[in-house]
Amino acid sequence: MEDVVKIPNVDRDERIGSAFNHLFQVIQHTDKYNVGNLFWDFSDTSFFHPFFLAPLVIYKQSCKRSIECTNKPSRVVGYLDLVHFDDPLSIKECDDFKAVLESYMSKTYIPVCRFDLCKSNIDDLQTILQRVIKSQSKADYRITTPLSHLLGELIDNINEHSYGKHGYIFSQYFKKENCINLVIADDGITIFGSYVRSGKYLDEINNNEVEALKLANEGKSTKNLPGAENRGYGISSSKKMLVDGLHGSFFMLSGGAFHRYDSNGASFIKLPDSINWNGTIILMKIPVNVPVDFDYSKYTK
Amino acid sequence: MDKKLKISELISTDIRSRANAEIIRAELDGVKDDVILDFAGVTFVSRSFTDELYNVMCEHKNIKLDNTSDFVKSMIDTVTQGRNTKRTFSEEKSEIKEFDDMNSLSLFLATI
Repeated sequence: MEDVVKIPNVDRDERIGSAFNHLFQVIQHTDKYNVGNLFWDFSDTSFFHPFFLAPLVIYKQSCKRSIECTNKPSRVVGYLDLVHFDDPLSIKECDDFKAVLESYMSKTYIPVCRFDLCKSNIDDLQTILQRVIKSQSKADYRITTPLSHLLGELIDNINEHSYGKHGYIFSQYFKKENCINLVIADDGITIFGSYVRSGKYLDEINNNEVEALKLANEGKSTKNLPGAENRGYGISSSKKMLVDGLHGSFFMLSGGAFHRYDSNGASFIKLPDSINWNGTIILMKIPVNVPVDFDYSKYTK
Repeated sequence: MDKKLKISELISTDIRSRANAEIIRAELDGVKDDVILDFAGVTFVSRSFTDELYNVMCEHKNIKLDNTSDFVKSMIDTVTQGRNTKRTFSEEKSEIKEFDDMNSLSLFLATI
């Protein structure tokens, strides 16, 4: 038995909701066909929005199914190879990943990279990724500290809370929009799973994945010290800094829950039961030009 | 004699992960003398790392900080202030939307 899922063309000019809509359709269709051979048919594709492409690569890795990609038009074959669509660039502790990543200095993207969580090289990896992203976008020097904050807090979060094996990162700079599209993901137990594992806030969550996502965004941590509320700043401060301070956009998908926060509003969404994301993924649109009135210290308090 | 730890050599000049504080904790294990953490050359410390450093400083009262840049000092002050005042959580006011089928979700996603 064979099943075919059509991969849509998702242009970078499409509305952001459209990219997620296409992604959810592909996930739903792929999850539905759980026997026999599965094919992703790329014949309609000519461009991939980064917020469609990166989750698609990561989903393909985590869904534990053998998916054969067919009918890739010649115009996209090269690009898919460059971004490591079929096999993310593996960053191992012993690898000379600095040299590998520095070769992307003059490009506009960093391919989908997979790194081991809880390894000692994670700060070095971030430092080099940040240097490459800044070089690619010729970013305002004032983006340095907020970018360090976003990478540092969000990667530390997945390291501390996801209980996953791998983290993923992808970046694509668009000159026309003058913004960096940055995707950070893990293959862990989801935010809901993290609260369940800790046994904390279970009454407030009430067995609901969206309530868990909302609590995490409010800064309720599973790892506070006894008698202290010292943790849980990572997601909430990063999101506010990005959207309120830098005028960017923030999206988050964890298990069956989705969150969006941008200049047009915020919403927490319970996805249909037929859609489930293995782990947590954060997608950010980061404007390269920092507003004159941006004050980093406002977002660390 | 005071023990001095050069943080830029011990960890990095760009310190992000909370787990980096464990390196300092391990260095302080069993040390009874005063210890100076020398932050010369350190350009960035994350809030998470600084929070864990605060815990280390609570465990070891014999620590002094030296050569902290304005940025590092400001982060330490922010964390210290946060740890000594009651935290107020900003409640997420946006409503939860529940979608039971793909069609209604698609209609919503078309609006964002």
